[in-house]
Amino acid sequence: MDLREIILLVSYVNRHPGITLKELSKRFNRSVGEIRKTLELASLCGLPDYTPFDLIDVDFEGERVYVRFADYLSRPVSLSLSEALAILWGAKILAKGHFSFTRPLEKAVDKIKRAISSELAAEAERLASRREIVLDEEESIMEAINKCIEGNIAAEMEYHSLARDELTRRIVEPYTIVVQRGRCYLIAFCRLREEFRRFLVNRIRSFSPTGEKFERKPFDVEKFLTSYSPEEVEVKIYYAEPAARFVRERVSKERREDKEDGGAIVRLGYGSYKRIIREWVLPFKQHAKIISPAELREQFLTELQKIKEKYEETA
Amino acid sequence: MSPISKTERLFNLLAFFLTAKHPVALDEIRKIEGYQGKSHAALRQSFYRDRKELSRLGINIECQRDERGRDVYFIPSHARYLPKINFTSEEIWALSLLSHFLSTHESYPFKDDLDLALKKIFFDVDVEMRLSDLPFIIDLSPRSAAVLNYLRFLDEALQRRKRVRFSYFSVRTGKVGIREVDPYYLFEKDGSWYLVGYCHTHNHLRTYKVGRFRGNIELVNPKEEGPDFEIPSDFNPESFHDLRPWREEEGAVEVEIWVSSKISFWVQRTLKFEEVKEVEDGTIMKLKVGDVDSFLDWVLSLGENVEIKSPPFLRKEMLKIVKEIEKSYGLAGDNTSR
Repeated sequence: MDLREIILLVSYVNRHPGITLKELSKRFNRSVGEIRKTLELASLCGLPDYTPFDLIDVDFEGERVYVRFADYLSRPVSLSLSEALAILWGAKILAKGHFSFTRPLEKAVDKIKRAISSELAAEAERLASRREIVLDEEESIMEAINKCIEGNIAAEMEYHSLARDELTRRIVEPYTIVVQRGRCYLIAFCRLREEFRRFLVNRIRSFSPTGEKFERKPFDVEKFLTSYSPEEVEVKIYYAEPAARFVRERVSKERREDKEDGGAIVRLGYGSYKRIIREWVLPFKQHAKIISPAELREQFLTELQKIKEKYEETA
Repeated sequence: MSPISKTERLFNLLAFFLTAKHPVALDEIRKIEGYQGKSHAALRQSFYRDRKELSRLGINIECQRDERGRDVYFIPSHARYLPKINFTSEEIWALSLLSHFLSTHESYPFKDDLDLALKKIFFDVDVEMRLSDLPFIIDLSPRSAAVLNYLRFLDEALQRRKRVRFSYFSVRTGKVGIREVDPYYLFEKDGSWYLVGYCHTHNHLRTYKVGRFRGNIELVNPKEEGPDFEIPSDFNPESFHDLRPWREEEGAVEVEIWVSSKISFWVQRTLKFEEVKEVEDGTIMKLKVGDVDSFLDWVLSLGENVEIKSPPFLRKEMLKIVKEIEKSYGLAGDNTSR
């Protein structure tokens, strides 16, 4: 335990005489042994002249603990700058989800800011503005999703699927929002596909509650996220320099074979051919070449032909 | 008698200042166990070191001159304790969500601080979590442990406004070079972390991808206590969020594109357009483009959903690229029809 935690522990026991070691262990997330050892150390501290009446008196009565001669520690010491920053930044990040608790969280943070010195609050605010998670989701869509999640209300959704390059209309039962690696997803049961699916919120064109209440099915979101890999296909693409440098950043060594000419062959187990073509082939121009499967190559050349036709008309 | 530990000495120092009725001179500190029997110089050195340590923990012992011209020290009464805060049950619930999602998250940069802050804030309240009700998951984990370590270092440097030195891999040139940067701002976008700062190697503001840092990172002036730089008042962090290398800049070209109705809604969400006009099968949008090459990469990444309408030279350029790709597959670029 660092000094801040030791001080807080003594203050807490002082405030709650007779609290058990077990309760303290739970609250401070430390073992009973650690709590006892820390309190024993505190009993060696105090004020000048360090007589028995000046040192903190820690009494263990069975499982219960009492502290005396520590009136100056009956409240927690003020928040440090890093603690205030931790609260302000965390609240700022959670506010991005436009969840229903955002407003009470803002109010709570305002109360905390008023309880600390104005200089400390201003400095923490300044530092919190120096670190950001950038999410560009539409506020109105996020709010509509959150309302449906909280009320178990089905919604009609227009969604652009990257894998199929289709705009579809479907009824979904929204379960949760997941922000992962800078992207915001809705996890919902999709009545069109009849299974749980993950949707990029940015790709939702419209989201309208139907008013129909749905019954939640047993669902483990953590399990779903770790096992989610839709329609995986394995493809091989060769990248020449300089494209290979960009690709090396995104593909692990296990899925990559670096060549002597500076290029790299990459194996991707990925969503759909359409998505691979758009994300992994076309932007790299002639520096990316599909090795296999032949079907992907065919599909790519067909799309390339369509693009070419657009420009041949007038060029 | 064995010497007391540093923790005990700091505890005693804090207890002394929390109970001090008036600012105290250095000599009075000699009464505190852990400082007794020291020479004046040793006492000063030891106290200054401990004062710095307490300050790191967020407990600031301030200094002023008394009427005798001596330095005297004190903790202002308003900075001593956190008063009781009356929260509504909704506010407690909202704060407990903050606690659950961030203080339990290993990669939350201020994890330990948040944990302790909430313990202080909930000093008078027993909070019961209702985990089954949670409506969201936020995963802040960077892609690698190396990035996490760089971020921790940069966070600290940013807070103390200290200049950093690191090796950086330029993906454009394929070379690693040393950079000295005043860190202004950190942000995550699409799963990658970026540092914005004034680069003394290039003498202007730059954005660096933390995943391209290599090897060690260090402070340029580790021995100097104070900050190395000030952040200019006109620094606008949000202007760095747009990472498209082709974004508007001096000498930009005005471009008109057609975007299919399937994707025009999110293209409009993510880009700024000067003019937008709905047409039967999509949307015509006007924008300014600085770096034409990377703009063409972006257009290609949207496949047949986007077409450059003008200027004509960009249409020609696109056709040339498509033909070059065809050639790379052994197809005659000019007149192949599939």
